[in-house]
Amino acid sequence: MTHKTFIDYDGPTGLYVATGEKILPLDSVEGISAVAQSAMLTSLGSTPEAKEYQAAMQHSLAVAHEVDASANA
Amino acid sequence: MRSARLKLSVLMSEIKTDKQPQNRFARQLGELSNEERGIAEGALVAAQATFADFADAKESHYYRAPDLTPEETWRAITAEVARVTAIAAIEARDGGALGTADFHAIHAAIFEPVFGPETLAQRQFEQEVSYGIVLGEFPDELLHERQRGISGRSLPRRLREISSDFRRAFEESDAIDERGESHRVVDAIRPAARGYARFLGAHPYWDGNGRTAFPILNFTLIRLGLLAIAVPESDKFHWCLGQGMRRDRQASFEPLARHLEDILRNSQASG
Repeated sequence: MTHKTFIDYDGPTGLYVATGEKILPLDSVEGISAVAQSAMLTSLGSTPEAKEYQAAMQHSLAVAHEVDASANA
Repeated sequence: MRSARLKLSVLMSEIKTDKQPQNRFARQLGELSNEERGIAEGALVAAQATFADFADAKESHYYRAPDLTPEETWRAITAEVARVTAIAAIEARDGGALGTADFHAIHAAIFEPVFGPETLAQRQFEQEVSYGIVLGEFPDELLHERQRGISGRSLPRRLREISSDFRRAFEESDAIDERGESHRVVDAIRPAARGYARFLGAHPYWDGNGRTAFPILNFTLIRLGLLAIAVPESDKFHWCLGQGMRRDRQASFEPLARHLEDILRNSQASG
């Protein structure tokens, strides 16, 4: 891929991560830690209620098993 | 434009091979470049670092993996998220697109090494799901509500739309390069924010949507010439995301795009 230039940004691009405070190399422990923490934390609060969820999950698994069984038949 | 081929399993994992994903992205351990080795080592340390923020979310399907404690499960998924995001970044730097199969491969690559056959499939047909969303007025009148994801029947079409939007953004960006012109930051951030919010709004999986969307967000940012952005947990982030996820005529991706740009602008290059 060609290198892209920006008229309003001249900082690091590519394998770096911006944390809101620093820009860190993605292949550093600190950089990848920032990514991992962000991904894990931003996923919170999006899970369905337990009862509804469990029923739906079981149905999903049953359908998946059914599809697998059909494919293997 | 070729599809991204995420080299998900060329990096080291603390997860044993009998639970590796059985999709086209599953690879045997190979020779690691220095760059990949750095990311792999970082991913494992990152898993330790995030343990302090372990979420006791018992209602989550991905709360406890077979043969693991909840804490071990959290740590294992963290390592997988870190690695998959890093490999998505490497692939994005090299170009390529991001198809619907890649969305599912990313989800599987994160969760199958930990949950094996108990990894959840994409929702189907009549299967519906709801999730939390922050609406109202920021910052003083936030409303925590629930919203349904789009129907399982409509999911394939929505995911194709998201993938097509990405492809169009990539092609337009590459065309600018071919003309020898420069980009604006917002032109890269807008499509990334839009795709991220639409993916989460669609909610293709029963669980793990945020962790799946995060590598997609950062693939897009890097593919459009920028860098990865870590999004710290905050009310403002969830409100901005809610504005993009809401399923009414008031939906807007601009608050999330501006929030991502603020994070970028407030970050200082080290060294």
